[in-house]
Amino acid sequence: MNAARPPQEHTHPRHDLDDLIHAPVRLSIMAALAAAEQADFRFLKETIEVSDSLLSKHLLALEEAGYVNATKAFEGKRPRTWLSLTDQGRAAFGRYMDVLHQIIGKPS
Amino acid sequence: MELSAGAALDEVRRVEEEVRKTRRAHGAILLTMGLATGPYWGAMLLGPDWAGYVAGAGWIALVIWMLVLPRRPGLRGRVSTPWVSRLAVLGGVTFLAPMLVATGLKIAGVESANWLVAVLCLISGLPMIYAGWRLRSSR
Repeated sequence: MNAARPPQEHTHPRHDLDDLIHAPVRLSIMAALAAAEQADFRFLKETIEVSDSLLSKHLLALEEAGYVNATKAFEGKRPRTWLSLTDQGRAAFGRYMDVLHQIIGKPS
Repeated sequence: MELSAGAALDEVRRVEEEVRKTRRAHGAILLTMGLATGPYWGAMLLGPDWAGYVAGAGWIALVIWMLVLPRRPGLRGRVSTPWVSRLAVLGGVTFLAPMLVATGLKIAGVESANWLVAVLCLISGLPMIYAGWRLRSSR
C-alpha cells in the first residue's frame, strides 16, 4: 500500500528566487536602477538593448509590484520619464542577489 | 527563457559596469571642466594677450573632447540625476560670474578690484569639480 507522501519541502535556494525579478529584461532593469540612483527611460532602453514597447511592458509589471517608481517630467518641451527603485524594490533586489550568491556558492 | 544563476549574475555585473562607465564619463567631463575653468578665466581676464589666445584654443579643444567622449561605444545614455542638474545650474552661474563681474568693473571704471575677479576665477569651477568628484566616486 502506498502511503500518501507529505509534500516535499523545498530546500534549494533557487526556490527563493523572486520570479518577478528572475526574468531577463526585468533583471536588467532592476540591476540598472539599483546601480543608478535614477535613470531615464532612454538610458535604460540603450543599456538593456530592448524596444520601447518591451521595456514599457516590463516596467509596468515592476511598477505594479511596487518595485519601481516612475516620475514623468518635462525638460523644456521634451517629456522625460525618470525611473527609480522603491524601498520595497531595493529590498527585493537585495534579497534576490543574496539568493543568487547562495546558489553560486552552493555546488550543484 | 530559462535564466541560470550564473547568467543572471553576469547580467547584473554587465549592467552595473555600464551604469558605472556612463557615470565615470560624465564625472570626468565635469571634473575636467571644473579644473579648467579657473585657469581659463584667469588667463582670459587677468593674463596677457597670448595667454588669452592659448586659453581660448584650449577651451575649444576641451569642448570638442566633451562632444566626442560620450559618443564612444558603451558610453551612450545619460545619468543626470536631479542633484547633478542643480549643480550644473550653480556651475553655470559661477562659470559666468568672473566674466560678468570683470565686465561690470571695466564699465564702471574700477581697476583696483582684480583681486575680486581672481577670487571668482578660483571658485568658478568648484561646483563642477564637486559634481565630477561625486559622480566618479559614487559606486
